[in-house]
Amino acid sequence: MPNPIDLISKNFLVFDGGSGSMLQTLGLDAGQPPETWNIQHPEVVTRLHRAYYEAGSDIVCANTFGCNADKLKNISYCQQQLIEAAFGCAHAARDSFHDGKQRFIAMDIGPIGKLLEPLGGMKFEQAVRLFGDMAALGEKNGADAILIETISDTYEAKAAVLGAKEHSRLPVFVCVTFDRTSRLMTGASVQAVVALLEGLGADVIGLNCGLGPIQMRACAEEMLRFASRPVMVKPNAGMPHLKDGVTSYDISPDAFAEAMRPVIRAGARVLGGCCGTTPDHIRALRKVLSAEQPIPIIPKQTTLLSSYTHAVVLGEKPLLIGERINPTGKPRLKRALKEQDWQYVQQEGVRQQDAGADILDVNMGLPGLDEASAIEQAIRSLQRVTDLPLQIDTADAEAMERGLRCYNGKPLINSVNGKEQSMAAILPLAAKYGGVVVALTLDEQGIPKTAEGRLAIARKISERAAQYGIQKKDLLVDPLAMAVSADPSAALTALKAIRLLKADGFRCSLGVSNISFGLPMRDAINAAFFTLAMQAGLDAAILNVHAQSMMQSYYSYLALSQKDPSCSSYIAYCAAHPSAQVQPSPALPPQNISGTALQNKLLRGLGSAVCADLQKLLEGGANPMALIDNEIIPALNIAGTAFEKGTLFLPQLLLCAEAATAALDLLKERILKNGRQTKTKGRLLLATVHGDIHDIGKNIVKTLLQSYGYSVLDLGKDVPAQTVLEAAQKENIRLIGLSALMTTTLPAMEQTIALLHRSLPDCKVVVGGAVLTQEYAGAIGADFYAQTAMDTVRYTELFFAQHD
Amino acid sequence: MQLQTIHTVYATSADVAINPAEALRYMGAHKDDAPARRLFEECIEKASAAFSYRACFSCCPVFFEKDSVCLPFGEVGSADLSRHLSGCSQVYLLAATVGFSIDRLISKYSALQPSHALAYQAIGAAAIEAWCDQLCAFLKEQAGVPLTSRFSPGYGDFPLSYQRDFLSALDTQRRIGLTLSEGGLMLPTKSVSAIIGIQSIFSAQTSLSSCKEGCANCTKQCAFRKRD
Repeated sequence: MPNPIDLISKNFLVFDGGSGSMLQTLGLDAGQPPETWNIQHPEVVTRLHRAYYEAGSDIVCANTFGCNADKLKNISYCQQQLIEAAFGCAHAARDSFHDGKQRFIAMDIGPIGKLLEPLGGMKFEQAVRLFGDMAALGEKNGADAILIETISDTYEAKAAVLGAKEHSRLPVFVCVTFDRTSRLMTGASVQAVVALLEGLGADVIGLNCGLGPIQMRACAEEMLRFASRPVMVKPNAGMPHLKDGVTSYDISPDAFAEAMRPVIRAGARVLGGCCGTTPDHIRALRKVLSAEQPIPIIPKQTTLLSSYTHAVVLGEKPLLIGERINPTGKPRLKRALKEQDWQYVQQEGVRQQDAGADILDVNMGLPGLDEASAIEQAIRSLQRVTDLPLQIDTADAEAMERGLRCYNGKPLINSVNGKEQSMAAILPLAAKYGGVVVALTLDEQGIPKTAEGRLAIARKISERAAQYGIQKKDLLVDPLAMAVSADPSAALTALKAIRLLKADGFRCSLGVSNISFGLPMRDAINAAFFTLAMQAGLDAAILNVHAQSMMQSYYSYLALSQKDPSCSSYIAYCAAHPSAQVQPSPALPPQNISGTALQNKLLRGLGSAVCADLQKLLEGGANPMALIDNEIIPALNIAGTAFEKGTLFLPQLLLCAEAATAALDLLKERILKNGRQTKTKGRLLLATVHGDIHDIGKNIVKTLLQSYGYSVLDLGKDVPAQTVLEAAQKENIRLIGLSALMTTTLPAMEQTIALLHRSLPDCKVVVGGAVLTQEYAGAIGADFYAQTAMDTVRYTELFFAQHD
Repeated sequence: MQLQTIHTVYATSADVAINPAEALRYMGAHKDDAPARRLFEECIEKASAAFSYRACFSCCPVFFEKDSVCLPFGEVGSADLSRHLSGCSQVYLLAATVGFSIDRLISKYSALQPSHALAYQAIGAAAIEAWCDQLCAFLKEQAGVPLTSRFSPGYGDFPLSYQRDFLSALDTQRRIGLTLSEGGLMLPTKSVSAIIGIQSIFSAQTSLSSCKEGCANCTKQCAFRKRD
């Protein structure tokens, strides 16, 4: 069976032009879904397809762009009916047209029309299903390919490709829509899109809609620079403009085709038109193509990783992989994970980003923790606060797949090794989801003593990877640095291995700090070894970006090796790390408020100054418990009372609470270190109800409660009633706070309260949110209505005072 | 229902002036509150870099039938909207947004530093209002006659349920990236949809003078009500 991919390998492939806009000129009402005409006017749809075949299209899109089950909810035809009818039209057009050339039909799939989480409410897996159902129906009805187009969000693109690949065997073409700033609507760059889509195994990638051929050229050329797959370009007929009160497009068919010539010469192999283009545009395009030779598609050697906004290139200068999100040897992180405190993980991620990390390692290996679900949670949480690419670090194949699935980009996969079992488990996942795979040079026989032995394992892994279609450029080999205290040749062997691997065309990374195991002053050895490894050609290192010696080595090396033009990174690093950190103190004292010096600092939200003072007091022998009772809590009470009186406002209340939380963290650590238990003031649960994604109010309440020393289980936003109940039951929680912003989500709040009261009669529910009133809160059965965040704190104090 | 003639316009942060006093009001602070002002100053730069102002609008006819208003996206049973547009034979349908990046900042700082989330959320609200004011000034110039104030789905007895048809009439998803969630929330969250009446020359004087603007026009008690 010939397929369109075979044609692309030899020649150009020409798609059709606009169909929705064409059907409108043929009488379709502007408001009517074009797909309804598959049933109401099949002869018109068929004629349009045929006109495109006649004009020279090799492949036309069945009229199925908006046929996802979610969009069709309000239409009287069912999905199956509309898709069947669409293919009826496309087949009729193809069967009636013979010129001896092979003609194809694509299943056309547009965006769902709803935004995916975390920006929107659509769940990723729900999107995968919607796209998958469409793809399956396309295949069933005789499509030759799937065209996913007009996508403006990387996460939706990922869901679409996964859906299409999991539910059909057809080749998948994916086109995204860039705006005038060369970004997707949700922010991704061209490079990030290429990395993601090629990683997912899209057969053809490209651009459509949004721009005309002239405006699209820059993005198309950028894509061609990095793409190893065929690139497709399907612009609008110029930019829309107003003429005699009607929107029209600003260039003629001939001008359109002529404007396509530069991208054809830059290597685009699949061409067509989008909004406003007609069979005449395609005819003109064909004419231009008849005089052009297809440019060969050459696999590019750039190694790309990506997040939902940008790509990073492995191989230009060494990249830093922050190692701190790994519970091994980190009691504070262990505690956070046990308490499901994802906020702590987020903070650790941002701290590393601020310290200069390019990539963040995510490891959730902790006995007693469900690793697969923890890694998914960690990745989802991190994706809300940082746009760095992530490295998914687990030895568990199930956890690896969960992480790869929900990650919005092309990640680092840590890791595979030369053992048969490892390669069989990890390589298929890398092939399916995309990623750069960290390959450890060890196998069933252990770690080879020699550099040559490690190279041999790298080659073995590379050969196996190639069988899965994973290119060598997407392997990052770690030749494993062992402790130099145990084996004096360990460092030299690792450095030699790096050189051999690099000469053999591999990319290399290392976990640097192993080298100093068993030695005093480990930082000194680590930093020196790191410099040597970079000099040997290291492309990435996993390390602690908070370790000053390592960062000094790093920025010094960049400056010395001509990888830091005019030493600007080095100078910026030095400027950000002066030897003595002086905290400037804002001049304005708060009005009408008095307390001790420490309390005043708390009231002004000077977290680091407060912590420095506390540190000194603790060293002088102060009792941490007494500091909480005599300094922190009184300061909070001053702020709370002033807020209630209207002399201090919400911003300052929050600043004070943040400083108090930082102070509490410090004091609690000290109390635990002294071997005593901290007094838990009580644990409560907060959630924004199902359907509502406005959670700023809830987050403010959470900050205040934490500053008062309460432990908060935050279930986040858009939380179904059942989830709230299960969490409360599991953790034996007796006080629950619910928030809702919109009138439309108040019924969900009422249902949640009813379920909680029915199943947990002892449980109290506090509610708050912009649209609530005392009266309404009473009517939906809430136990307490909190008009402000402080009201919740007061009620909580009262509740736990009565229940202890 | 989708309209034939829809215009899309863009602006950058250089074009839209955000009033700090408005942002402070959305933060729940007095306009002279020093800590809130400092917070505003700390956040405004990053916020400004995040804004990507977009809007689309269309001019279309309006008809009235008893208590309902006939617009291209549907027949709206709303006495308040009917009163608001009385004397108008044409309206602008407007949808505007400041883009997704501010939502990312709000979400990020909700997890890291809620005081900053509060500031970003307030700056975002002030930004979309400033953008809408600017658009309305532009539309007024285009129309050459006075316009009514903005009236959005959810105001008074104008049901929020019209939001979906309103936005799809303006093709907002494709044009400016504005979508609705399952629950009917606009995404990006800092977005506005509104109907603006184009006053015919004869009706202008009477109805404009009787039409109260903004907060003064609203019967709800709310923490953000403007005080003079």
